[in-house]
Amino acid sequence: MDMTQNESALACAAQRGDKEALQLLLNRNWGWLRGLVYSVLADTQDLDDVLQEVCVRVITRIHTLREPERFRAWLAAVARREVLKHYRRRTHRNIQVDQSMISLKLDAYVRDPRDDVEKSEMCGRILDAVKTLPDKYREVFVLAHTGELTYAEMAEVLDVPMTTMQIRLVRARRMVQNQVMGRADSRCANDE
Amino acid sequence: MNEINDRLEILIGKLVDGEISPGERQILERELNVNSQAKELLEQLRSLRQYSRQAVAAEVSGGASADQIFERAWQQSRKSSYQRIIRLDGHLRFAVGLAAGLILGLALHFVPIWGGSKTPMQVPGETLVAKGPSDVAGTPVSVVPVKQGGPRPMTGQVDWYVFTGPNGEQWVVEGVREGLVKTADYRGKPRPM
Repeated sequence: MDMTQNESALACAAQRGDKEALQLLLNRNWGWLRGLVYSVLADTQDLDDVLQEVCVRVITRIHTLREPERFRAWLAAVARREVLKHYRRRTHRNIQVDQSMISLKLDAYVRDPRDDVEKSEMCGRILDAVKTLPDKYREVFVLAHTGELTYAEMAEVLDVPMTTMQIRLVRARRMVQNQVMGRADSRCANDE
Repeated sequence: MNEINDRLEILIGKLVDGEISPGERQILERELNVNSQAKELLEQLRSLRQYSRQAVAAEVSGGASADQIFERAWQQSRKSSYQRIIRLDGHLRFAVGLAAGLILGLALHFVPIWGGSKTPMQVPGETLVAKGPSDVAGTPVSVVPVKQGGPRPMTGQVDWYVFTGPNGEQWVVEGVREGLVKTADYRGKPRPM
């Protein structure tokens, strides 16, 4: 399979039952897909399980994709549905941030030991703030910081116009920034 | 902060994310030169973006790789399709069982009418009088049911029944249901000639 093939061609091949094409297609979109599922779940505990369910759904339903050129939007919709199904299956679960786990994960990213505490604390505060965001703001915030998608691609994945996505991102950042800085958020309107 | 509107904040966000166009960059630079709050916000958003990327990466990364999850999902989807076939077979089996039950029920309903009850019954209140050429043991004879007053017992569903004659001999009689009289078998002691 030629890596330069576009996703639309890969989606068509996957619809014809090409396992390799489907795997490549999912690989290419894995980063943001993982971020999206995490943003809807607001939790990492079941992230791999839900991603597996998403993959199963994609494998069994790829033939229902009507517009192969809109594979990303379709994949995002499938992922959201699977997360909602997952929510229905599980009942009560505490989604508090596990600070110790964040510190452990951050070890891989933090190079200077003097910055460990400060960075870990700041990242923990940011994640706390992200988890309190309304869904639509949390999604766009996480997608923007997975660093894999352009604005146009984020708008496609979220299935909203570009300007709507930009306004959501601005407001999500403002809410997180205010919470991290301990400021009262007076400008977070819900209107777009 | 109040002097920073959404439009300007979007431009700052675009600059931070590397999505700003040359024309927008010029507009933003002009604004940044005169608006200290905008400049401060730019620094805050740069810092926030850096930490946010680290935080999100730390949170989202790890776990199984895309290939591992895909392979597991592939196996699961194969298994699911097999299970769907089994489930369909289960439905099929249920339908077959239901049909068999229906047929059996119908058979049980109609068999007594066609074949009659094979269980001999004692009919109280009736005396049958032998009326035939011979009532020698083992020889079939004809009998006629005679009512002895009182209500007739519920013998409508009985095709066969047994009665004991005045001398202790036993008779099996067939077909009293519709007034039909048929031959009977004598199962008693041989009567002395």
